[in-house]
Amino acid sequence: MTLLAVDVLPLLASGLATGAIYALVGIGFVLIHSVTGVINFAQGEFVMVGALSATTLVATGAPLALAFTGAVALTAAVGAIAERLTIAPARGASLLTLIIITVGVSVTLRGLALLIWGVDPRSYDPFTAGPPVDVLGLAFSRQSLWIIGVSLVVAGLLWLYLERTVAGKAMRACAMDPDAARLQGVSPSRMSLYAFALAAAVAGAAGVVFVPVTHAHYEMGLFLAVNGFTAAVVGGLVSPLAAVAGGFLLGALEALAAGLVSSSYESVIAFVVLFAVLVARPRGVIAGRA
Amino acid sequence: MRDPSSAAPRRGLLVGLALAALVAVGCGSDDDTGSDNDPIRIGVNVELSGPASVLGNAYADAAKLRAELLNEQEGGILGRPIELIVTDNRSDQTEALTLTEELTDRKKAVAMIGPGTSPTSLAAMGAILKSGVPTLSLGSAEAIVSPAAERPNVFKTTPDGDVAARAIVDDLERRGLRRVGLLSTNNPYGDDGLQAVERLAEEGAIDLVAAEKFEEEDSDTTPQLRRLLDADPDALIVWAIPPGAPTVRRDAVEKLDVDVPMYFDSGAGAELFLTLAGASAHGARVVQPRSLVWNQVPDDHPLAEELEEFGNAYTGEYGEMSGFAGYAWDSVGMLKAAIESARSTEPGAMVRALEGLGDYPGVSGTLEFSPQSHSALSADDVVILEVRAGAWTLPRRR
Repeated sequence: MTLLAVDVLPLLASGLATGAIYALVGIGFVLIHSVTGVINFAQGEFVMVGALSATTLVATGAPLALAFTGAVALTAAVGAIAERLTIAPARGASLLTLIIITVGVSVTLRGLALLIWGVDPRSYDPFTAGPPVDVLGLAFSRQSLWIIGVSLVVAGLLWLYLERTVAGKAMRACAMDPDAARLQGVSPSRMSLYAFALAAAVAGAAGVVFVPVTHAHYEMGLFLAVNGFTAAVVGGLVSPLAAVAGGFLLGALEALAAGLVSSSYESVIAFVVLFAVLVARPRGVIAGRA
Repeated sequence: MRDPSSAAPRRGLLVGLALAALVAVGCGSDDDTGSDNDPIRIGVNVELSGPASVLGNAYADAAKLRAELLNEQEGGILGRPIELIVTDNRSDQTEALTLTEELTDRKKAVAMIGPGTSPTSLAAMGAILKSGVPTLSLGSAEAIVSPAAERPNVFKTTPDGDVAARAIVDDLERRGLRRVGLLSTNNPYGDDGLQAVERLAEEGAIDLVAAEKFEEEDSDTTPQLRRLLDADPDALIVWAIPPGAPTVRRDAVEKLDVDVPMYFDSGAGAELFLTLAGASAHGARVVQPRSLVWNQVPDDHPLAEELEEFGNAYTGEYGEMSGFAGYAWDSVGMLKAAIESARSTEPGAMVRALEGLGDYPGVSGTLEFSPQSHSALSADDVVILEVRAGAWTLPRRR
């Protein structure tokens, strides 16, 4: 027990913050997949756009709240534009085609980011300065608390939107049965647009809170996409809340692997988990579209 | 044909595109007749993209600027213009090897600068040795140039792990700090630092109470830092380049509230460390040649003139000074000195000239190669800097 308390719990504390980021990325995968059936490989690039645009806003001296909303709004716009320019015109194409289109979107966004922001990583200071905070006997950096807090708030707001608003219900209806939804006057095309914008906004928020922990970089998307996708797959790719749980689980596993074995294994954890889930519970993925 | 180095855009993928264009136009004109007005071609094999792009871009920028200035002010080398062929190895070991073959063989470069890191330099070693082309690596691991007998044409202008570790340990001794924890990257560069610190510990200068490794791309290094702190060290040494080095600093200060002094190897000392570590950088110490703090060096320092010329030129062109720029600046200058001393671009003559240059006044220090040592810097050439008010600062007493 002593060993557990001393060694494992502090590791879990640091894993929770990264897990919260994976959770936000995972939510984006679930949103888009459940409405359109598409696995959006540009999800990690949405995080990158949010993170890099926030570094620019912060560097120009914008207050944090403005930088946050500005970066989230910009990322949502990028998501919406990407959907209108690439997914919408290809409506009627096979799912595989649409998925490959999102790969193209991710490469394009990465290239644009390289042209706009260059190769050097960028960063800014944590939202609140100061030493780590003690929560239930565990030391959390202040930014970790921000990350966990923001991800829980975002997940909560999203749940309210999907469960309690007409627009959210329309989106879910579209996910359940597009044809029936269309008969009720819901436009699947419009819902696809909303899903992309919303998923991008969530990813943008993840990017803004994540920057102070590591740094923003045009190539940061792939790693986040792999981990976020794994979080979503662990959750079965159908429920945003399950994706949140998957994200925290993955973050914790990575922290344990890095802390107890070696950080060399940290980056393979996501692949191992993904592989295990796909082999053991492939229906969890395939059954994503009801 | 236009000068490809000046036509090459400065950054990233664009360089790759330019390279492709260069390959296309270069094919027809690869014969190196060595006549009087032909340019002297120097290959630059650096990390313009990928994890080590911070170093690679500073290297490329500094080399291009030096070559440009030498062409303008001194008419190049022996009256022939310097033509830099700048290529991007994408921080990739295989690419560094392939580019070495391409530069030395198809592009007929008479010398090569780079690769810019220890892993890429060691990966390209086979091709460098096979080509026989004099190469000034910008990696820091001692194994790149040692033993000199097995690395006849490989030199480097960066401080050895031993030199940097010795400077850190001297500073620790002065402050009466003995118990040391070391965090190094899990690659040849980090291992070089680990071995250097271990050797000093064996000599009894310090007690190495714990050593941990991390991966360059880790986003969270608190597990390793926590294990180091469990050993109750008086100071921590970190052997990493950005973005790894500033990540460690942030984790230590913001997540673990570390209050023991933290020393970083010269690899960490770019302006990017300050940008990425932000407020947490305050109080961090780094081993560096004086080039990073060129404008803080007293006027009576023997290299004050060289430092001022370099500092004004580099910051005038690119804005901010980089801790890495000086090594590439010196490399171009040393190649010019060697070719002029040999009056030839024949590889053997250039190698002998480099070994016989004696004390070369560079911006990283007084550089000297010999047949026994192909590493140019010594302990006198580096100092310990500390972050004060958001800038690397040279302690007054030096």
